Amino acid sequence: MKLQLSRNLILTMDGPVTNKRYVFPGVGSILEVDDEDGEIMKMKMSAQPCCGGAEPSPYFHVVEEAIKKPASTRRT
Amino acid sequence: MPLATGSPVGYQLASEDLFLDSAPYIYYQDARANPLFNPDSDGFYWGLSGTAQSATGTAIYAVYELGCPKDVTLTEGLTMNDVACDTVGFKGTVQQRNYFEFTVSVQNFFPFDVLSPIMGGGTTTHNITNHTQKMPLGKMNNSIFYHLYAPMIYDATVSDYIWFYFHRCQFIDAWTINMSYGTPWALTGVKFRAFADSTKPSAQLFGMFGRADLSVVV
Repeated sequence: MKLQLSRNLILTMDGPVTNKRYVFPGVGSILEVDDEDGEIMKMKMSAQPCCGGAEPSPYFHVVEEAIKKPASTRRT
Repeated sequence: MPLATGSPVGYQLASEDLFLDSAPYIYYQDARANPLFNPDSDGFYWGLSGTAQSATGTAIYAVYELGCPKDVTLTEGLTMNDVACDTVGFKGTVQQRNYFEFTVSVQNFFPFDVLSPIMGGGTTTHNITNHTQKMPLGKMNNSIFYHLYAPMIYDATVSDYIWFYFHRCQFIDAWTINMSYGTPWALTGVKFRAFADSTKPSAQLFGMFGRADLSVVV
């Protein structure tokens, strides 16, 4: 899956499942991440804002979804 | 209401009995993003869109909200020169608008990527593995400009609100952090100076002031 960083920062993180190191060099940067990591990373939200109208927002935009693997078939 | 001493003659328009009593929220966004309404149906350019993208379609310009602003003021900078006539004295004043200026104190310091433009910091680094945020403090970048959007709801029941919008702002002047015992830290002296955007119509060179009121603006 491809994720795009939506915050104006340099982001370094380890994949929550594979432990691969991902470095997003700045806002708008797109990285291809492991599908398993991506499923968790795309849920990552900013902290609860203090006193305004803004809602917690995701760190990433999904540019390309994970390709669904077909269910394995068993031969009889 | 007619004056006891005599009413003016002709069509009269009185102010509404309505008062604004708190500071607006303050949002900003990289000025390279197009405004949300570009323009709207009335020809006004305003609004922020956090999904705005650059011409190449890659960069996304987030909208940042300043948390808990305090001591918010708005003023303008003018150049004024009197037209002095040696026969009769002053005949008038030539005025040129140079900028608008928001002054605000900020009490929320996190996250750093919201604070960094205000403090003149660089691009922050956010390391989720080490759980650290770092803001470089170096030379000022004078080439970054921001849209500024400052809405204020004056009737929460029916969501009547006003808003200021400026096209092209810079964070200017020296800030001060007050670190007093027993009171929240405050970043004071923060100024957004709104300059003219030559790409906009001359009547909206700096921005606009709007109002949305379902019951009155009918």
